[in-house]
Amino acid sequence: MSIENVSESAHQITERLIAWSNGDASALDDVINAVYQELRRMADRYLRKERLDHTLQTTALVHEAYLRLIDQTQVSWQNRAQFFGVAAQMMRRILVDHARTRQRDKRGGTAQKLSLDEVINVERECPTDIVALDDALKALAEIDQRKSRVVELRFFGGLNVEETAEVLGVSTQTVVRDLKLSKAWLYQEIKRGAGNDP
Amino acid sequence: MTPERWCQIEELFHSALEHEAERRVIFLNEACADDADLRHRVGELLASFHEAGNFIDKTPFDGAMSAIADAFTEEDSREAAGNAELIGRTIGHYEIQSFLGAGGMGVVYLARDLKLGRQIAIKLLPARFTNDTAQVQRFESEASAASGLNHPNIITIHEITREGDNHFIATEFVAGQTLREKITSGPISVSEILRIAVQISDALTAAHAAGIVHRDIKPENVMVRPDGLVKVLDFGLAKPSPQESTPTTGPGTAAATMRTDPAMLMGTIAYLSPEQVLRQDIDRRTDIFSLGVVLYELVTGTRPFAGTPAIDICDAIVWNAQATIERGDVPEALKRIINRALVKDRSARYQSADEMRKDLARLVPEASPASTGWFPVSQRRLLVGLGGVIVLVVVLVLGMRHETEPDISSFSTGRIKRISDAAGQEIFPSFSPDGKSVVYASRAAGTWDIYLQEIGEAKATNLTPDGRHVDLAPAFSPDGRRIVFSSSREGEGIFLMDRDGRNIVRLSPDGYNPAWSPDGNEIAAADDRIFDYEGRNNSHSQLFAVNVQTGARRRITDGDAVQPNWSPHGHRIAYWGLHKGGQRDIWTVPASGGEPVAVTSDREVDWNPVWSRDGRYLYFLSDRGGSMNLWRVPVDELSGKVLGQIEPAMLPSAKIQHISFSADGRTLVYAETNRRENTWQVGFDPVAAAVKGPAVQLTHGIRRYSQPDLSPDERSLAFVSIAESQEDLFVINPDGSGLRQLTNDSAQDRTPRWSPDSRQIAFLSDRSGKYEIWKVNQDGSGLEQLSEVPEADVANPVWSYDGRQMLFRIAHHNCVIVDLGSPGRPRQPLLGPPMSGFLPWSWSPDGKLLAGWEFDPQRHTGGVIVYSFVDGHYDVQPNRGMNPVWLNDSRRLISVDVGKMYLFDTLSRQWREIYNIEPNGFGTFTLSRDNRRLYYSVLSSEADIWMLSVE
Repeated sequence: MSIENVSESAHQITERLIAWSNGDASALDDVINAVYQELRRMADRYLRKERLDHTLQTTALVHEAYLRLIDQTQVSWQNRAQFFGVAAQMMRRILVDHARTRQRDKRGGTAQKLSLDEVINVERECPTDIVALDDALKALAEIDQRKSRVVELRFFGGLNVEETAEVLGVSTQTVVRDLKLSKAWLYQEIKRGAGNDP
Repeated sequence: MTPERWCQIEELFHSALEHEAERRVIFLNEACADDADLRHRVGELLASFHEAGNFIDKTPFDGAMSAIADAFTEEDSREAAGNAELIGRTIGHYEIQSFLGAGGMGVVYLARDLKLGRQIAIKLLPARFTNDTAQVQRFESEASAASGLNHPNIITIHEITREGDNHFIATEFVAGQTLREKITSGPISVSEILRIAVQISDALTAAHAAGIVHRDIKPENVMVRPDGLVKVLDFGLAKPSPQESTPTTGPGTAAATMRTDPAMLMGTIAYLSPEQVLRQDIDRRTDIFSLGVVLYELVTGTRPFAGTPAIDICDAIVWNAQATIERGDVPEALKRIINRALVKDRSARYQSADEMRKDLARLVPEASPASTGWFPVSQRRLLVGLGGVIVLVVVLVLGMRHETEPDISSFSTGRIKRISDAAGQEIFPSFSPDGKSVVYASRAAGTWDIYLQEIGEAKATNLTPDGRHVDLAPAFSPDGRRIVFSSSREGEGIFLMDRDGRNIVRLSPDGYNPAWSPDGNEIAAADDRIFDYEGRNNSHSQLFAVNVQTGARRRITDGDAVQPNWSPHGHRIAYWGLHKGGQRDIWTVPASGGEPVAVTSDREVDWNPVWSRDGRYLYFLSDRGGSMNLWRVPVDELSGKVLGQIEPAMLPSAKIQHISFSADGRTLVYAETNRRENTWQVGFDPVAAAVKGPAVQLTHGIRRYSQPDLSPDERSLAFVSIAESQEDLFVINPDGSGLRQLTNDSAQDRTPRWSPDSRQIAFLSDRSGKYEIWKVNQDGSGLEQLSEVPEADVANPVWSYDGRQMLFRIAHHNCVIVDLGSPGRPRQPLLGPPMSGFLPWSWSPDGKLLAGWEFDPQRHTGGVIVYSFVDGHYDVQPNRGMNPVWLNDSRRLISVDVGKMYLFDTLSRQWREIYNIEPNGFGTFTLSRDNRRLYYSVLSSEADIWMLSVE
């Protein structure tokens, strides 16, 4: 893909993003697809070890995807927020699916173990049970959709409080408060489900 | 829960948090005085909040990226496994049969090659890679380099190509276990480890000789087939340590890099060399270290450098000595070999894989008695206890070994020696019965002659030095006094001569590939002449036998049969033939004639059968291992019945043909062949009109880079790759990297010619049903038909110097010019009278002259012709080759004639030879725009005779 093509596709995705922000629901699919492809490309570059110097935080990923996909001169902060919202959803989906598969594999015991697993087991420090968290988030969404979104944006999207507030169109204080209650509620929910510490 | 309730809870929760901890209980009790449930819920949440600590505060993982990458890999794998659509589909000429596995770089399927009917493995690049042109190029050029490797222990890459958006690599399919699976399933015997080790080091020796370092030798990359044959996978594909990474000065820095690079797989880290850990430049000794790690693990079941996390492994690789190998049945010599491979300072390590291979090979016989089952281990101990008796037994065993056929593994470890190394081809070797000399056919003197080489002597003797006749396929008589051969003399036939070349007599007016009966009374021969398994002239060749004394002749077979070989006790004759549809199999037939018995019956190419000297095995050549090599199968010499499995007797050479055993069966001679077409570059001085060496080879490999044309900006080389029945256009960087395919279809695409602006390629193609000129952009886009001549085929597209016009030839007619700027305008014929045999090739920069040639099929050469646009005159030069190309002065031109390059001055009308690459031949060539570099294609055909002695 030449540079011309890249910028052309960025232009298109930007247009779709704006269209979606303006209420064209069908444009969302295009945005989702573009973000998804971009994450894959980043993952590929990562797999090919071209990212030795790069931080591997989700935050950086989402921002990088944004910079690559969206023509910044064309969009408003609302558009940007919506993009981050989509990206966070995407990250959640990918990570949760991945975690579910891994759980299944462990239970089945037969699945071929991919060599990357070994590394991840060593390198990953966060003990959070992603699958349980996802289930709890779904339950939370039934009671309080916004709080569920706050956690999604913060935790899976890696957005900071200000960005989260931007996406949801609420104050930063609300985000902080939402996070506190969500934390307590989710922890409790997971603890109940697991019968022990999450 | 109602939203109102939830609001209540939320408000209370936050209010409570605003109170100091010790005040909270009082606050809650007051606030929920009449609502115990509310009190309970908020209380629980507050407790959870404190218990939760930093739960979900942090973004999920530091390793999120690796998890994502991992997730995608799994997704590919799932997609592939569940993708029923792809199964049963045909990509190129491969029919996808089932899913084999998935890795970071692609999904692997089992597929059937519909052209050759064999099973292959096909690796599809994930669709997400294919958007990334640079990545695809890198992938293809790496695979391309590896595809040049042709070795029984290296997985064969059949094809690197694409269809639509599907980029794929077709490789040999290997059914077997990875070394990882073997290690996991339990201890491996020392003799098996040695056999595996010898084969891996053999593969590395071949790869290193070709300048390819594997860089990722590990148990996952080595397959072992059930018959013991080892295949090393992923040459050129797996690169755990990117060379582009910044070199560091000390292990501390490297360690830091490693820590932030979780993609550096644990599985891979353990097999890295110290120089890989330290990110220094990598050379072939890195593979030796990794092989050392693998061997250590095979022997002990544990890795020499272990630890968690990854960083500890890295430290161990750089600093720690491996634990001593304690396993009791491991010979000291093997421990020494492993330790020498694991030396951290690479200058003190084994310096070549070959050196290591030799040391390993020496141990194979030492370990073999236990593995061949002659003595169960317990009996051996008993015999050792009996002291002196052992000597007798050993002598007996040695005696027995000479009576039996060589151990199958001994072929790959035997001593090899080149018998002939003349430039060009030497083929059809045949041992004298005493094993002291070899006769063979060679074209060293211009035509095929029969040569006699006494082993150990410096020079071979040409026995048929007449310079006129084609003499081929010699075979020594069983008494060693005469030689039978086929020849074009006296109108063709089978001839006999004494071993010194005298007394040539004709035995039969026809027949090829003669074979002696063991009693020396008869010669078996076939109707069709065989050089190799390709290019059969007819598919109903029959075998016959001629009596040497009387000339009496009798038919032996009815079905297709070629290349006969008589069994050592005279009972049967082995041969190979074609099934309908082209399948090549081996049969034996009673020497007196009768029903043939099939020896092989499969889609692999099987040919060149040769009986073992004891008559218990039939050896033959087959591509069932991925490349053409030697195999054997036990056969009952009387009945022809196959008595066991086909097993590999892999010779340490590639592309084997024409096998002959010595009388004791311990030595064999064979021809190793190699046909290539590669591109070279050499300097040129346009003033002195002289070539300025040295020449540099640009492309390497088994792929034939035919009809290369250099873009005027010297950044790309377009060429035609002729594979199977396909001819497609490719482009490659002049340094041999960045291979990309421009066309991929059943149409025949030929003669690529770059436009002067280096942006388009004109070429000849029959994609419209007949040959027309087409053009395509250098990135493969914009395919467009340029000529439209309904009445005849067209050929030889020639760009004008300014790129505005194109000239081409209409077969049997004339050359015409089209104006590319105004497509509607009718084509203009040349001024002069039509000259039907004129093949145009180069338009002079001043636009006044057109150089071409006329091909003479009789002499297989051309004659240069210069046409003048000014007066319409054709200046026909006798001989001096083809493909003339103008210099910038529009006065001189260069042409090539087989192995010679000439310069012609149209003013002085002088010809001068300026370059000679004989015995190789020139293909096409291009002159750089500044006239200072020549890019030319070299056609070479090498075949040498080798001798292998089995211990």
